[in-house]
Order: sequence, then structure tokens, then C-alpha cells
Amino acid sequence: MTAEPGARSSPSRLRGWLPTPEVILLGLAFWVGIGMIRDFDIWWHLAAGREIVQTGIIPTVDSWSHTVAGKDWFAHEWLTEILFYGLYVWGGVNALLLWKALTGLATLILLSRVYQRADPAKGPAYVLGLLAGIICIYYHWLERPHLITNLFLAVQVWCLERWLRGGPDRLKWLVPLYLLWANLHGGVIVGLATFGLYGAGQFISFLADESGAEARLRHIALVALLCLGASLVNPRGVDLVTYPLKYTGAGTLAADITEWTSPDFKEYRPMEVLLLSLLLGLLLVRTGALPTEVILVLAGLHLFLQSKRNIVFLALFVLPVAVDRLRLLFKGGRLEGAFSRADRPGAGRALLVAFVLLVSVHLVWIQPPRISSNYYPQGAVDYLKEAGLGDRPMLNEFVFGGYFVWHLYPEYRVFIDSRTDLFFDQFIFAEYLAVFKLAMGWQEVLDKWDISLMVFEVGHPLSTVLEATGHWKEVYQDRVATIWIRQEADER
Amino acid sequence: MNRRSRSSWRPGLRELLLALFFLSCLGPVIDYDLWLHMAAGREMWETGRIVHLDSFSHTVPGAEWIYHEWLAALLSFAIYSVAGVNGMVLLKAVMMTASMAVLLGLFHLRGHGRGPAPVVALLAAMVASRNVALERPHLFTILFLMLFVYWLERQRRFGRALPWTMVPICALWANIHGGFILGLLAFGPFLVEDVWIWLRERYKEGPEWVDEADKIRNLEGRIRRSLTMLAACAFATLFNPYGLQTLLYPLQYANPSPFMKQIEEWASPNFQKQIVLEAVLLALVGALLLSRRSVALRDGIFVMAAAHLILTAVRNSFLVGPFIAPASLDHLADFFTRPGLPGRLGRKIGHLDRGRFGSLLLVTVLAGSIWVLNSPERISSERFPTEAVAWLNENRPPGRLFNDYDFGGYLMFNLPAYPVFVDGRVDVYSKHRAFSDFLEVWRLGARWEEVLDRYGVGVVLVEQRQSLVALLGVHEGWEKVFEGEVAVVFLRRSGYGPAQE
Repeated sequence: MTAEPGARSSPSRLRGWLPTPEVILLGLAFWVGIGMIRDFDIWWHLAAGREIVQTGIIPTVDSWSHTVAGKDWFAHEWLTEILFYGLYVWGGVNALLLWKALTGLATLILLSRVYQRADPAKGPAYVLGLLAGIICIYYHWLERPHLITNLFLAVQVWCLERWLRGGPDRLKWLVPLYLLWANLHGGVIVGLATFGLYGAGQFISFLADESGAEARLRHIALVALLCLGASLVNPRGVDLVTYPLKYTGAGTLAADITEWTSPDFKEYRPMEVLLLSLLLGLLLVRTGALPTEVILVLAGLHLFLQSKRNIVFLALFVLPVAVDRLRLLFKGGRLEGAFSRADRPGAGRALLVAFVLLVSVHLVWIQPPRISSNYYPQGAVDYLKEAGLGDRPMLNEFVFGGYFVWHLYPEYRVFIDSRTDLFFDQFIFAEYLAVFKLAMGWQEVLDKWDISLMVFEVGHPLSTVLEATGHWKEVYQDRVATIWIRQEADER
Repeated sequence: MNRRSRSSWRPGLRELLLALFFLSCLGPVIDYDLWLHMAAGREMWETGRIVHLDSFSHTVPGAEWIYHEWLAALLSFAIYSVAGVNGMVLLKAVMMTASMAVLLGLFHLRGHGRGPAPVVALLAAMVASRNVALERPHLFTILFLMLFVYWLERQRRFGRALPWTMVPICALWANIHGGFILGLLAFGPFLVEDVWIWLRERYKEGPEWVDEADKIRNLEGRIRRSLTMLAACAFATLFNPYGLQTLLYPLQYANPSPFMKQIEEWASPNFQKQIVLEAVLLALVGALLLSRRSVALRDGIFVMAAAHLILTAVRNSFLVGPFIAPASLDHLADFFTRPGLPGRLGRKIGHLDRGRFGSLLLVTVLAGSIWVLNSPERISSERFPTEAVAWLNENRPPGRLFNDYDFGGYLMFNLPAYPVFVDGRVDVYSKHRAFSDFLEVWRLGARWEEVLDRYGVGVVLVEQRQSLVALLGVHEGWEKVFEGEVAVVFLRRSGYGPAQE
């Protein structure tokens, strides 16, 4: 029995407009990725942007703190900070959220292309890989300049993978990209290191007498050199490119700043599930691997195990290898057939574009500012503005620093904020930790800086100790922060 | 002496590694819980009874204590009585080295008696197990688990029946350490693989999971024998003073309390510190990536289980030995036969491993034992509050004790005049209010004074770096009376809080 042509085309046309699994995943990622403003660093980036726009000069010394005022500090991410401030002026915090979601989406689209490097089919392996990639990107999906590194690194890996698999050579595009990258985020050094990883893979292939490896190695080296040259075109030259190296393995930073710590697999089970799934994939599909793949997988795993914020390297370096293997596992199966039938190129993407546009318009022009009142010390800021305690040297919680710089400078100057390069260099971070961990010498730090105003998270043990001294008085407390002032002898 | 006889006396690389491993395990005592076990052992020795109730604390006196390690405690105290702390150090080194020797036997069973693959796998197992090279009852779990896997593998490869020795070992194990559950679980991957092969043989379908050793005719008989032995072993574990409760004890670690998650050995590995463990795990991934050999089902299950257990608690890193290293042998061997540098490296390692096995290890163990037994007490001076305890023993200030969690066991053994507030027996304390009270003070909560008053605490002994030191240092009700390299002692000033006993 044959069906009427007209009867068959109608549901087929309708099905063509239905979103594919890929489109659903990307749309959901974009929507969930908007979230709310929940990062503390964004505020000092905004403050830097404001200062650059208002003065027309990129700051080269600190002026926001009372501990390292006048010390050398350069706004390494100056171009992003101008962009952030511009977005904020245009559309408030929601514009920053839109930027975050769009950058994340662009990164995921590029990742999805990398996952198709061995086979363009969007079967179950590809969809699972994309889902894992979303989990990786989402974990550290914050409104901060590092998203630019994620995006540009995805561009670089995509260009390299396409070229290495016989596609067009678009590596020259990377040169202008590096020019921008160096001025947008310090992660440009990671891009240069990625050339090193791919180069090492080709070098091993060259040692194994693989044909063409030498030419590929030379080409990667040449592009890497050009990119390095382009990245040096910035206001600080070599220093801006290499400064992250100073903090690689810096003990205190790595141990005491949550996002730099090694992943806790008890706390965040999806990370463990992801790693065990990768291991399972390796156990199930035995195909061997190219030297470059082995190097990338080991580098990605190492970076992630050292610091959970490096989870993006799982998405970029490890997942492509896992997806290739999963494809072999699903090959010829019923599931692959079902997914290939569901894949309808074209219309689904139009749906994604429409969805993104609609959400963007709603976010920027209709929605109220998406910022959590229970997350930031807004009550403490209001109190401090009202109380006029700016003449008292302040000791503030590390994470509150940026928020205070944005809202309270120049009336108040902070003890510390999350510009870790500056405060780590000047040993302020160690003094801050001595107080907040109540380690030996904590009182000497207060005396050294003549601290008479303290603002920190409510429930911190410091409250109990300050009260026990009899010299400090709590003057404000809400669900987020508490404020203490030192009492003079006659006030006690 | 001709060339042949010279080489026959030359030690091989595996033997050299074992000898070095033995020497590295002779390091000083750094573990806090050793003292807890010795205190319990002394108590049982003196009273002639197995402990069922707490008698060491003033916070939960008389509380139920399922002391599943009672036999190890008696043994520890006996060794201590004969040979002092150094006797325990020697026991640790011997047990750890014996476990690695069994592992080499396991490698031999799998057709990798010598050469680069077993050398690298042994090295990986040794460095990964360094985390748990402590003078504690889990030493028996490491050795017994290696033996169980060895016997199960021998049955799997050569059809030799499982020895009935496993049954008394299980009975002993259940009275020594809660890790006996791992011995029972080790049957799992072998049984699953056998059942899988049986199903595959029956339906003649399925992917290529298994290796050459699967060609075995009496599969059903093997499954039956394994199940019988498993049942007998499980039954044997019931021969303990606490009955079923001992069996249930290990389950609490499946869902540890928030406080337990903060204890370093129960926490997820901090790979910034565990560089060697990370290198071992990455080497495994690298070997798996490069190799095209199939993975046996039991090996896959062992690797997945070990990876899960290691990622969730660093103390499980010793599982690299029994679970991961044997599974990686074929892939390592594959790597060392590749052309170029890997092949050359493999040949070099193989050449270094050609010597005779035994003499160097024997001499090292004998010389090391004599040396350690004649050394001064090998106790880390940076870990234990030795001076503070001496001060308290000498001055005997009034009041009950509030102590550092870590120091609890040491105080139980060395400061019996002051019952502790808390110690390493989280399972005992966490069922009572005393533990939340301890945390209230430890975290400088708002009720800290009320807690200390309620328990009549007049003496506080904590580590130098703890934040409680900062609090008591500024509080007018407390006075710092002793400050040593490791610990600080505070006494309550007269007139503050309840009257002191």
C-alpha cells in the first residue's frame, strides 16, 4: 500500500519545524545559562570599566584599597571591562546576563562542531557529548571575562581539528583573534599552551615517521609564533601575556579560593558521573588513540583534577575523544537510527534563533534586574552609606571587596578584593587569611592596619571572637553580612 | 665466578622496589587513631573483657560502642607491650610489603611474572598505597583483600578451587577491621563475569568481553563453588561479639556525616597534594587510551569501582593495587612493545628486572627490623601533644577536658586521668548530642560558653593553629597556661563558669 503524496508531505513539513535534540539542548542551555547575577568579581570589573571610561586612562596603580593604594596594578582585562561597563550602562545587569548566555551559547555551538569532527551525524553519541559539554561549561558559567577565553579556545580547537582532519586551513584567523584575546582576558596563555599540546602530538607522530607530521608541526609552530606576536600588541607587552604563570601553583591561592581548589567529588556528583562515564567509554571501546588525543586527554584531566574551574578543558580536550568512541559503540544500533531520523537541518536552527531573540528582548527590555538580594551585602552597603564611617580603616570579607568597590568607592576603601594578583603579591592575602582563619598573629594584623571597621559574612566565627574581646561592637546584621566597629576605651 | 652465576645473585627491579618500599614504611608514627586502638586494647587486656560501652569520654560514658576492630586493638597493645611503638611501625612495614608481594603473585598468575609491565604496575600500587601506610587495622584489610583477589583470579585462570582458608580469614577479618566487606564484594566482578559468559555461551551472542582464559567447560560448577564460598565467608563474619551489627557497620560509610566529609582521609582526594596518585590514575587512562586490547568484564568492574571509591575518599587509594594494577597489566605490556621509545624503555626495564628474587628483600627486611626495633621511639614530634600531656600529668589542674578531635586517641592512651570530650570514634559520638556540642565549640558557635559550662570543662587542650586558641586567648575567663610546639593548654580562671571538680 502506498500513501498519497499530499498526505505524507504535511506531517513531514510539520516535523521539519520541530526542534531536534541538539536545538533543544542548546536552547535550554541558553535559557538556563542566563540565571541571575551571582558572581562577586563582576563588580570590580565594572568599577574598572567605569574608571577607564570616565578618565580615559587604563589604571596602572591601585586606588580602591587602603592597604596597597599606589602599588602597581594593571587592569589586564581592560577591554572586557569597558565592554562590561558599556553593557551595564545600556541595559543594566540583565545586559551582562545576556552577554554571558550568548557567549556560552556560542562556545557550545563551536564545541558541537568539534564533537562532529569524525562524523557530522548527530546521533546519540553526539547528543550525549553535547549534554556533557553543557554540564562542563555551565559549572563555571559566570558573568566574567574568562568566558571569552572559553569561547576563543573553542574557536582555536575547532580550527585546529578541522585542519588536522583534512578540512580547510583557517588557522590564520587565529592571529587577529589573539590580538583581541590578549586585551580581553589573561587566558591567552592557555591558547598558546594549546598550540604546544597539538605541536607535541605532531612531534611524537614525526618521531614515529608518520607522513606529513613534520609539515603539520612546522605549520602549527608558525601559527603559534604569529599568534604570540599578535598577543604582544597590548599596553603591557610580555607582562600581560605571562602574568598568569606567576600564580600557577601558588599554594595559598590554590588552597583557599574555592574555585581554584581540586574538585570535591562528594560535593558535586555530576563531576564524578562525568569522569566515570569517560572511563567507561574508554573501557568499552578499544580503538587505540593518536598521540595528540592522548596528550589532550591527559592535559584536560590533569587541569581539571588540579582545579575545578578548569572543567572547561574536559569539554574541549577530553569530550571530543569520548564522543568519537561513543559513536563506535552506537554505530548501526537502533538508537542511532532514531536520532538520525529526528535530525532535521535548517528549520530547528531557525527556531533556536527565534527563541534566543525572544528571550533576549524580554530579558533586556521587560524583566526587572535579575540580581539576588540574599546574595550580596546590599543591606550592609546601605548602612555604610548612611553611617558615614569612611574615615575608619575597614577590613572586609574577600568576596565582598569588589561589591564594595563598585558601590562604596571613594567614600570607603577596601582592605582586599578579588584582584588576587595584586593582593597576593603584596602579602595582603596572607594577612587577610590570618584574620579570617583566626590564626596566630590575627590581632597584630588588625593593629598593623589600625582596623576599626569590619564587614564579613554573618555566622563567621570571627563574630564570637570579636565579641569576646570586649573591644568590638556589632552595629549591623542581616541575612548576608554583619558589621562591627572597634569601640574606644571611653565607649566601652 | 662466571657471568651466569653473578647475574643469578643480582636483585631484580621488582625486588629492589619491594625492599625500598619496606624501608619507606619504617617512617615514624603519624597517625592519631593508633593510640585509640592501643588504649582500647589495654582496657580489654586489663579487664579481660571485650568493650561494648564507652569508658574513655566524659561526654558519652556508657554509650554503646560497636568496636568492630577489637581484635586488632588487642594485637596492637600486645605488640606495643613487647616491642613498643617501633613494633607497630615494623608491623606496618611487614604487612604493607607482604601485600605487595601477594600482588606480584597476582601479576604472575596473569602471565606477567616479570618485565616492564609488572614493574610499573607494582610501582603504581606502592605509591598509591602510601596514603594508608599507617599503623592501623586497615593493614589487615589491604593484605586480606590482595589474598582474596589472588585466590579468585587463580580459580578464574586455572580452575583451582577457592581455598577453605578464606572462611577462617573472613571470621578473623570481621573482628579486625570493617573492611571485610570488601573481601565479600571482591567475589562480585568474578561472579558477574562468569554469569555473563554463561549467558553468552547459552545464547551465542554478545560483544567480545572476555579473554582466552574464558574457555572453561565447568562454568556452572565454578559459579556454584564461588557462591558457596561467598555464603560460607559471609556466615563466618557473624562470628564476632556484636553479631549482625558488625555487618551493618560498614554501611554507615556509604552515607557519611557532614563532619566525616571534613576528615581528610574520608574526603575526596585533593589532587593539588596527591600529585603521585593523580599521576598513577592518568597513567592508567593513558595506557587504556593507547591500547587496543579488550578489557575483561571483571577488570572493567574493578576499575570502575576503584575509580568511584578513590574519587570519593582518598583513603581508598590503596585499591589501585588489588583492583586497578592487575587490570592494567595487558595494556602496559602492550605499550612497552610499541616501536620506538616505549619499546626501548620496556627492554631496558626488562633487562633490569632479570635478577634473582628473594635475597635482597630478605636481607633488607631482617636488617630493617633489627634497626627499627633498636631505635628510639619512632613518633613524629610535630603531630602529637607530648609536652602538653606531660604538663597536664604533672600539674593535674581541676576540671573536665575539652580536647582537639585529632588528639583524642593520643589522650585516651597517654592521659587516662582526663576522660576525653571527643576522639576519632565518630560512630560513637555522632549518635549523641555531645558531638553537636563539640562542633558548636569547635566552630566557635554562639553557644560555645554554655556548652563548656554544661560539661564542666575547666581544661582545654587544642592544637596551636585552631581558631579556638584565638577565642580563648582574648576571653577574660580563660588563661593560657602552657604553650608547646604542637599544642596549647588553657585553664578556666577561678570565678568563671561552674565550680571545678
